[in-house]
Amino acid sequence: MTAPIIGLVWVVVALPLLGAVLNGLIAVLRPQAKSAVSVIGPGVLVGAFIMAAAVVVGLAGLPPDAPQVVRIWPWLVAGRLDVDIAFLVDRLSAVMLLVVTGIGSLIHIFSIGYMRSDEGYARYFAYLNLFVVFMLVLVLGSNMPVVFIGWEGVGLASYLLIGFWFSDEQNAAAGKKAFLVNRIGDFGFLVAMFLVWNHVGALDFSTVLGAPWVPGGALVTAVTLFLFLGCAGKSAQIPLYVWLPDAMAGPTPVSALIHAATMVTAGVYLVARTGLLFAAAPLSSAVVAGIGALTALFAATIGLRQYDIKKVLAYSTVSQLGYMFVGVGAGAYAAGIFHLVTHAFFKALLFLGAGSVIHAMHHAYHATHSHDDAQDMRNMGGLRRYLPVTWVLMWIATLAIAGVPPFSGFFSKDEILGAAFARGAAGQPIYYVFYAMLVVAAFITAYYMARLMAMTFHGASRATAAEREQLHEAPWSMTGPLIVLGIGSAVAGVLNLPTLVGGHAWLEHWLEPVTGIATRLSGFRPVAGNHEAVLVGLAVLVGVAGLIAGFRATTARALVPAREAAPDTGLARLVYHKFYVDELYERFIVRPIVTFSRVFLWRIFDQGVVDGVAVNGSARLFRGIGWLGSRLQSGQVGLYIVVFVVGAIWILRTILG
Amino acid sequence: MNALDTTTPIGATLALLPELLLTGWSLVVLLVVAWRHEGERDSRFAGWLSFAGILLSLAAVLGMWHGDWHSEGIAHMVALDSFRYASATLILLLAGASTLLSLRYLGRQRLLAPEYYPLILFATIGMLVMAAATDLILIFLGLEVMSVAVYVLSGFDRYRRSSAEAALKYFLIGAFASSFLLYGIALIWGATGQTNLSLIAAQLAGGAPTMASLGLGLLLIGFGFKVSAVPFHMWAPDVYDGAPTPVTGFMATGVKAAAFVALVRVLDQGFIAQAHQWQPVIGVLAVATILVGNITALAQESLKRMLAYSSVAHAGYLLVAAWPGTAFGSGAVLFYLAAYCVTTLASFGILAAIEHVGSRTVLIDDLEGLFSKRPWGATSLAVCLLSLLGFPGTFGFVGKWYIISSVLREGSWILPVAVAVGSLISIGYYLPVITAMTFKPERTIDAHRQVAFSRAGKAIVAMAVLLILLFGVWPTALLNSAVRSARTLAPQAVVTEVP
Repeated sequence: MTAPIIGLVWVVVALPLLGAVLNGLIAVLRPQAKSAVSVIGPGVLVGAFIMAAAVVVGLAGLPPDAPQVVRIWPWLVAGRLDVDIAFLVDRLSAVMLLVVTGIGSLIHIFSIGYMRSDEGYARYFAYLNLFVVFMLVLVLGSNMPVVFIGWEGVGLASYLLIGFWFSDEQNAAAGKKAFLVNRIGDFGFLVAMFLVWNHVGALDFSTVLGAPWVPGGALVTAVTLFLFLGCAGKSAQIPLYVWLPDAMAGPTPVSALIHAATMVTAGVYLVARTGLLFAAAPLSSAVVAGIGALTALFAATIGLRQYDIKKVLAYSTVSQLGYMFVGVGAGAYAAGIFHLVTHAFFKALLFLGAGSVIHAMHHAYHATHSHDDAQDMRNMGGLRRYLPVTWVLMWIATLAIAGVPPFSGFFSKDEILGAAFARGAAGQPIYYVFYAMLVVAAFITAYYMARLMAMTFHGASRATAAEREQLHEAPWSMTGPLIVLGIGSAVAGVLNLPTLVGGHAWLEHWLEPVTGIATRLSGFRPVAGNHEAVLVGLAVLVGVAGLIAGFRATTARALVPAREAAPDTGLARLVYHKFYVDELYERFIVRPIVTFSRVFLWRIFDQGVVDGVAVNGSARLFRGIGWLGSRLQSGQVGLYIVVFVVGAIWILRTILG
Repeated sequence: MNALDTTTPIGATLALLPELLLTGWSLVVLLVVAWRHEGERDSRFAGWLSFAGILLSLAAVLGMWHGDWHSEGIAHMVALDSFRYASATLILLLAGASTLLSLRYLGRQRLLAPEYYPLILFATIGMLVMAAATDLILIFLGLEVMSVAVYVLSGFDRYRRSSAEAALKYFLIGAFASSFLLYGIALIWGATGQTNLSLIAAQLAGGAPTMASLGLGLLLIGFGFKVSAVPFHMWAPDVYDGAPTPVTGFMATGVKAAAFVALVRVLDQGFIAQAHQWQPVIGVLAVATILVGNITALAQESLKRMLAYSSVAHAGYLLVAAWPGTAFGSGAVLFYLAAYCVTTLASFGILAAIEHVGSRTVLIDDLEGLFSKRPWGATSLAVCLLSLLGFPGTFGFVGKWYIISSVLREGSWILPVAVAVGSLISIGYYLPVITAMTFKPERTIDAHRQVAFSRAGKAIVAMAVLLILLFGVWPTALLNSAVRSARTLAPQAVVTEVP
């Protein structure tokens, strides 16, 4: 049985592409035509979502172990290399398809209100549509080169959107940083691809995953480690996480869509997609889980002392991505994807809620001609009276991320914790360490989120009276998507309700045909029921304790606005400055490289050897020969005939041999 | 089904349907312009009329191709195979586009003269005959019909000395080269008693006597001149430079396409058994042409002369594709011809729109700041140049890719290296044009005022740019069609021995 609707999956990609082209044209030709942009930009996304839903329904009607490869056109054919532009529609990409188009639609709609007054409105939507195109190519690609196109494309779109307000040099630098750090990761992806090509001779996932890899062999370990380097770059894991907090320089909906809900989860998706390889490489899997756990803990710690509301959320994203990597590293691929889905809801909600707060603060400052920082939580306080809808929704998201039942984050985070513990119990004690790190990180997460809520919405307002008069809730086009996300954050847990509470683990069963074999191969065994209950109880306890501690600690102190606040001292200062990691990178990596490239590569090698001798030298040489040739081209017919005859004699001599 | 016996009068007539239609139509156009040749309006009317004739002929070609018309037994005189249909389609498209590009240009540059469009049509007929002929005599006839018309066209600008000089040079050296071709045909006839390619192949299957080899060598010299291979290329820059720009575009594409398809047919159909003899010649000519064309182009300051040398260099790449003599190689010839012709014609079309009235040398430096004044025109020219350069994602890149892979299949590595080195050198003259257009400011406030695209010119250029980008990412269907067409070139089995 075939479902013809699946063959139309290209429409899902084509619609945002059409939107990107149209909005791009409007941006160039008629930038003031904002109404058209407001219809086209979100419209194509909603259309894509509907189409994606239809495709997934079509897929659900098929036998579960029948991935559908939709060939669009043959692309590269050279010798043994045969790469099609082809889309893989299976149950894993179906989940991603719905997340990208669904959350994407909501964020596009939110953007109408948020970006309406910006001059680059059309350009913004063109970029945002373009991002969705590449993101869809990434999740749908049926072979590594096509995924890589999407991988690079989302990087490009992310670069363009981080530096959207490029006239501010800091934003442009942030875009550049994201781009450069991601290059390191891309290098890993490429090397992995070359290794696979060299070993398997094919690049499409079905052949690559089905190839005879030696379990635990050096080759599969190398491939997966290089792949993970790529994932660490894209998904902001240690040591390549440094670009993501800076990426908050972009518009807030961009942070929600690209740097929280979708693009940064691409690494998790890729590990799940190539799960069979990771399952055959226990060392790589342990590295994935270890880096994930370390990142989860480390980034959460930094989040404790940030004052910029978006920076807190940025580090929180890095930390949550760490959780997902522990899940896929432990072999619980479905759990990792589950957390990816719930995180997409609650983190998008947190960012958009923060956007709503920033929008209100910015509006108030704008009206009163104040130059305070609209993102600094020290300037906020007591906002729940002015932004009641945002307040309620942000609390839902906070409870979700803190892991309080029955909100979505509870179920997904719990599964990851359970998976780490189970691997420990299955004879790999190192996973107990990862588990402990995650539990501590869960406490810190609850703590910094409660701190964020308390500083922003509770206590006395630290805004001036004039500013307070200007504070108001955002328009419906912005609160509407927030409410939808709020519902999702609250109830998305039912997607994978564990059997412990009488659920059917629906998502896990749905993904079983894709990730089930890898999960079994990795040696993952779920923990027994009564153990699980204890673990769940502990996790809830930690989360609630963190929330209470964070809330009380924050409200106990009298806060002052940012311009009056004394700088932090001691440990707090170290954490506020993010453990000086950026400065360390700058001192020990960036500056030596820059110095080396400036002095040696540029001055000596490039300017001297390459430019001087190779390029200019050879150019001069060829130009000289060319000049000589032109002299020969004197316009004298007689000379032409002489050359002609010489050539003719040579030909006759050659052919008579 | 649609099998034609080309030995009967009716069969031969039907086999020549596109050529005959176009001949009849061109006589009508000749009559029309004899009466109506007063001003620009009349000239444009003649242009549109010629365009209609070209479309009519194109319809006939496509009809024959679609209806799969083929010959019963061997094709006497005229081939009925998809290689001919594909080549004829390309030639007619080029002729049509050149006609449309001329419409405004002739009036603007005050070149109004009634015979322009009939001459274009006559040249096109010659090209069609060359693409169709399976007999050396007919190839020669087509070549002469085309050449005489093109000699006149290249000297069309009677008020400029350089144009007249170009025409005279072209004619003198052309006549010289034609004599080589004709003498080669005579020797081959003398050695085999045949002028039909398939019959020649049957005679020479066991090896060629010296007389036939000598004839083949002379043929190669004649064709070498027509495709402007080094060292028979020296006329090309002078003639391309002197001729009116749309004519240059037509010569650099149509003439080259016709000469190449005829050459490929002669080699693959008539002399495939002698491949070991002609391959060294073609190979050396190819390398020499690539190197000399590219290196001399580096030294040019005039855009038109630069394009002229670049077209010499591209003849080198095409020779590389002709070298294997396999269906894949000859398919690559067809494919690269399409890529090269679309791109080159569009480049000359843009150049025609940029030229000042009267003084017509456009220096590369004159293009400075074109992008800010005419963004679409400059972007189109940039796309064309990138395609000529072989930049990934363009038609030209895919073309070079397939040339290289078709040659690699036959185990040569020198030729691919030559193609790569040539492309590398060509960066040195294509990119400065783009740099000048985009990164440098215009020199005077009213720079680029003279740039005037006609509506037809815009349409042609836009279509070409779209094709360049489309086939740059989606080449498969076109390539498969080219390779399928080239398969029909294999020598036909001779059933009855003609005494």
